[in-house]
Amino acid sequence: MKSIEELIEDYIDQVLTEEDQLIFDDLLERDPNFKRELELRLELHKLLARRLDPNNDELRFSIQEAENSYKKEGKKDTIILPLIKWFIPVIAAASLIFVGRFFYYTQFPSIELPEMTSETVRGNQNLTNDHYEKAVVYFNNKEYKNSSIHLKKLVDSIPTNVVYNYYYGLSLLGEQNYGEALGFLLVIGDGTSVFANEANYYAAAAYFKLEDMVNAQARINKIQETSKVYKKGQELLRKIE
Amino acid sequence: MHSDQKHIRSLLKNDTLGIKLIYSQYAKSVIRMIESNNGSEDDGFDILQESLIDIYNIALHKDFQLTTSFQSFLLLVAKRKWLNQLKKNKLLEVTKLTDQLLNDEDHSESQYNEHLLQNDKENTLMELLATLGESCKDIITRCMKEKRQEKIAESLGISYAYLRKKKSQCMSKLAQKCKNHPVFKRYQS
Repeated sequence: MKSIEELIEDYIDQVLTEEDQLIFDDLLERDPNFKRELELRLELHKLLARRLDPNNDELRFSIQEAENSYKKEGKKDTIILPLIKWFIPVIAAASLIFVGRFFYYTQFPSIELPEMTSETVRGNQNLTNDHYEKAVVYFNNKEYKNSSIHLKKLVDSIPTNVVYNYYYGLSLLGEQNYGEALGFLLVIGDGTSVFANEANYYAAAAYFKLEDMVNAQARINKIQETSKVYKKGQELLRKIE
Repeated sequence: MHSDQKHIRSLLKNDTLGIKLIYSQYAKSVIRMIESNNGSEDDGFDILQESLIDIYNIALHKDFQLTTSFQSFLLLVAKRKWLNQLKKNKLLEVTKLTDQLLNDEDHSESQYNEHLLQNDKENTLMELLATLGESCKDIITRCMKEKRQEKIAESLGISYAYLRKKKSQCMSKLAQKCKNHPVFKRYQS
């Protein structure tokens, strides 16, 4: 005679014999523990089938490949940069040929970043205040690489501060680091802070530069009509369309 | 539908270019969050990989809808994974965490709560499966991937009847481990 475990497995795999089916039905009707065990085993089978699906392994492979390529790109940038110095004249000449193609996306419309205001922000301490004031000077001088250094320190010290996150996002945008800038601007754009509309506008501009027009449009559509950047958003939308 | 749903589709379709785009846009923010919370860059990459797999598994549920930006959702999943890892390594009590990781009132978390809890349950099951002996793990994994169990028995060099018996024993062991785990508490007698 089969054990309860075997009966349940045979039922789940649909290989119960007629005789075992009668025993199974009887147990199910009169034994609540059997019923509970069956429910658990059915759930386990469902979850395992999903998690052990071969598609899961294939996805892992693609993710690993993307990670390798992402790491390699980073390394390539570091190795290639010194070489680029020697080829600047060549690159400059070559890029003239392509300037027409890229002019549209990289130069027009230009992203004009707002002025960063010097102010006392919530949670200020001497050190953070110092970084903030330095960031203001660099940001307003359009020295975005330097402003990013100070803003990153501020974001790391208080990751939930919207002001720091917003200006860090803009500073990265100023550095033309569009992907990373989006990381900060999208979160603010989806939130309810006073920077939400502006963040959506600048996120749209970043997407525009990345030639991702679908997301650029989606971000513009999130800007409220009453916002200061609504008009600019609509202008950008016309360029996209 | 949120415009970032395209990233979910990339995962569901195993679109390699789309997955590379996810890395180029979001890897830094996940790694930065982990690094700011006592983790290394390698930890960040591991958490990112596992989080993307989790998002894929969550997105397999037909009723799942992305209601925030992909970035918010990814950071939310990564945050939970990292907190779990710190808990497991008993590092949570001795780690100074940033507000981003400790913020319990994450609005997006409540929106995705049901899916996240289900995902935790599935992850727990996979962890429990990993604690079984090699033979049981192998039999369960093979039987879930290949429906023709006669073939599995043949490749393992055992009879079909013995495979069936062994499978039911292994599933029983796994079920017992689940019943002892708080995540599966509704099955406790």
